[in-house]
Amino acid sequence: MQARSSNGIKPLSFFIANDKFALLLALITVGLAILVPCGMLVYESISNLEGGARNFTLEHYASVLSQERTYELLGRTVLFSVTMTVCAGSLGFIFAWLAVRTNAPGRRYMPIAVLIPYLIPPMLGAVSWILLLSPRNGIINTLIGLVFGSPLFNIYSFSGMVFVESLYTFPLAFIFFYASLSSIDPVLEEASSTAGANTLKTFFYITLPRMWPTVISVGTILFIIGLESFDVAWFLGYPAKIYILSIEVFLLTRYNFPPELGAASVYGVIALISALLLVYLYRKVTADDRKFVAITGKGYRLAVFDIGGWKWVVSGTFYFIIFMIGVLPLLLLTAISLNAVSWPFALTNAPSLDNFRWVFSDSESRRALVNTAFIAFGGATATVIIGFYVAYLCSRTNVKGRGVLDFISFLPFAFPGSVLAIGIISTYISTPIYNTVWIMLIAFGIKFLPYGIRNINNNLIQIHTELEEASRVSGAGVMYTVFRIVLPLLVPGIVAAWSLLFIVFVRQFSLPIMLSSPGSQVMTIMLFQEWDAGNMGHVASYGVLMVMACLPFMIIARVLSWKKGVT
Amino acid sequence: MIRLENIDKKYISADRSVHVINNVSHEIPEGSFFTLLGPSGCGKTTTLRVISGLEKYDSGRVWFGSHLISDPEKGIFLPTSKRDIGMVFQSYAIWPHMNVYDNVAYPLKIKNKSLSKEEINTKVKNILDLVGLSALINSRSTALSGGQQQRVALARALVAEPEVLLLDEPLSNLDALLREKMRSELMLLQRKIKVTSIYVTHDRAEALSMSDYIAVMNAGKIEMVGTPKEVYECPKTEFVAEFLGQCNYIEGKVKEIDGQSKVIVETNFGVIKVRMPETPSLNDKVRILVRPGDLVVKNDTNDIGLSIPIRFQNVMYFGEHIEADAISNDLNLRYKSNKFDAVENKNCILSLRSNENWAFNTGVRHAS
Repeated sequence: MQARSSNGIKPLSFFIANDKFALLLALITVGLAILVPCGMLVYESISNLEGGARNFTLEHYASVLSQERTYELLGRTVLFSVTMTVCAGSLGFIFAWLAVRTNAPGRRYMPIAVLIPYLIPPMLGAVSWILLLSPRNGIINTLIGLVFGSPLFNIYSFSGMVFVESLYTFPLAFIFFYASLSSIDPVLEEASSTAGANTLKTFFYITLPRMWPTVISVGTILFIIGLESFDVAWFLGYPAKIYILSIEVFLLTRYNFPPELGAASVYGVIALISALLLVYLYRKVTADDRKFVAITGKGYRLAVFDIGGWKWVVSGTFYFIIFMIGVLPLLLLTAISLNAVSWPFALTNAPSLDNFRWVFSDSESRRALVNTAFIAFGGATATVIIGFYVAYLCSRTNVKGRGVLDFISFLPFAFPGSVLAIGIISTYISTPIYNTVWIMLIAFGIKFLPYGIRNINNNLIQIHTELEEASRVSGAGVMYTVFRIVLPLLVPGIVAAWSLLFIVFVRQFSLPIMLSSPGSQVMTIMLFQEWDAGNMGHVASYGVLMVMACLPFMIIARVLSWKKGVT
Repeated sequence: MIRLENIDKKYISADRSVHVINNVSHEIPEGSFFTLLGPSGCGKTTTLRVISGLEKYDSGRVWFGSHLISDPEKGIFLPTSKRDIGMVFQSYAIWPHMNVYDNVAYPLKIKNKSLSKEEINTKVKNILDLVGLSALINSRSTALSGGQQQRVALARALVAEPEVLLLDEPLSNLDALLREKMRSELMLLQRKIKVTSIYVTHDRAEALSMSDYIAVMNAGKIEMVGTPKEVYECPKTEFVAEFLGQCNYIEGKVKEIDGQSKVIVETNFGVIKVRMPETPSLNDKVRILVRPGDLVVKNDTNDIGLSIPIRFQNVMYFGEHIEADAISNDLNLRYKSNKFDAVENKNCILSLRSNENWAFNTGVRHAS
């Protein structure tokens, strides 16, 4: 009663006005942050710098598109991504199905075991497999050499790239499919069997079609991971001169002198166009999927199939893979970092902490550690805040134009890091933050905003809108409701999203290698430099530190999402 | 008193437009229990949300007493949080991160900033007493049963003594037994504190048993407003009649008119006196509304001049009553009785329980 008489009747609701203002603010900041680099990328591709003046030209397109090499490069990039998607995807799907639906021993521990390789950054995966399969001194090749007289595998090859990239992407596919398979209501399958269908028919007519949206969306995610793969392509492909798009873009901007920003931008524009198509496709396919992915983890009791003796084969293979891609690399890296093993492979008698001592005392290295910590903590925090803001606007209000915001903020999802970096470089080259950690903070934030939004959104849609409406009816305004009702309920989701971003930021390689300069280096760049210089002990120490930094957050994120039932 | 004036709302999407609320006007008297009743999609919940301010609409005015609350055409809109309302949601919307006390105290803390902690405590205790939950004041809200959550939601909606209480299908998530219990509790509570209440439901038993007035809605329009007795016994349209219970119709034509209350209709089964929503003309074709329970097996004591020869089929036993199909030549009537007098395949003569019947005009006139 008093509220009404004291406030009277306002011309145009505050609420409407607030809504629109909030959207405008988001569109300006997020929109500019993402679209300006995209625009600069296009601008860079159609202009050149002559005597301090920019001129319009199509010569970059002419020169790039007239080379046969370009098409080889694009073809190889697509082939790499597709092969990797198929390998990692089917491996993930098959094992996820076996883990959820068969009596393979140890199946309950599979989703936990799979986190061990997931914990290893892709660049470390590449390094470990060089240690195992390098044609000159890889451990496995050396052993094979002892038996057959000559090494069998060459990791520095296209198939080597696909092999390693697939192995380290497989855990992600497994996690997605595992969640999705466990969330199929068994009633649907039971109905099919009572209708007379046998197990196989039920699988093909009911289970698989139910999984289809998940298969498509996971496939798209894997494909995008392949497209923007940098670490593996760099460590394994570059020495053998097998380039894919992200590497070519890097070489043109950072290795060629003078930098060929124009040609690199043409590749960037090609990537931009495919990114637009992929984002469109992905969102179209997952429009319905997003709804039911969110209601996973109901703990259904699913029928379990007895696969007889095969169960030992299944579990044996699974845990062997985990051992080879997770446990063994970790042991090897730890041993090298502690000087217990030297490289080329030999046992030493004097384990020591010298490598770690160097990492923490060298001034350049210390600065890199500080920079990584700054970017990981600050970047994850900023991305989560902006991510919540955008997610809330897009899924909890019906302000007009939120669809545009939603689409723009999702765009960087399919954008290779090195391509985004060109746009960032062109945008910020004449500002004071160029060549500082701040530009990396911005780049990280832009690149991973979609991950933050998606993660928070998955949690947000589980909060019934009536919980918010009840607060508004109780007299609370929008801001008060957000702070008292929405955020407290969202804490687990936000912490999980923050942890995942932290992990991703610690191990990011493609953005820093494009953007860092002396003084703004991060751990991954130091690791790379030490690798180039042949200091295996230092490389291994950085690797161990990264894994240790990520481990607690990985545990937090997994525990929270298992509790909530969201992947 | 709440007044709705020409409320109108359309959803327009690319492929279709839906008239969710079609020019609804009505005045809800102070202190009454007012029910919006209708099938899903009829606009009843949207109307409630328009009153609460949770939903925007296209045109029309909402008044709380003499205060104009919203009028989109003039750009007037009092936000939900400034309206003097309490609301119970279908999902109860109990905040899981707060205990019972915090849930209930929430509106007090926001709306009456001048209240001391002791005053808040007293008010929370009193309202929890009223809904019979004072023992659970410090319980975690996630530990509550459905019925308890329901009471917490009610306490939270009432604690700040709002001008209006809005209830959006609050009983639909409870099991049948608890629903009947809560129905009478809710009604007694409302009669006690006399807060103007607007109740949305699709359940006719809830509407009939609890309300002072019922507005029956269909396709965005209010078809009829009246007391439970009026909407049940004298429905304005066949839609209202059918939504409030099973209906049989017996056709006939108007033979004699003596004002609205006395219309004599001639049917194939005899001549009968009815009342109608509007005065008909002679020879108008009419449909007499006969509820299944209005039919009785004819005997010497209940002869009102109507004899319907039928055969009983599909007799079903319900414990408290039986139901059956009563089949005549070209007529299939639903029969319901607590006398258990329908026997499968038995022929007999039916009549009507009373001489107070209701009929609709079909708009067609018999050639005389």
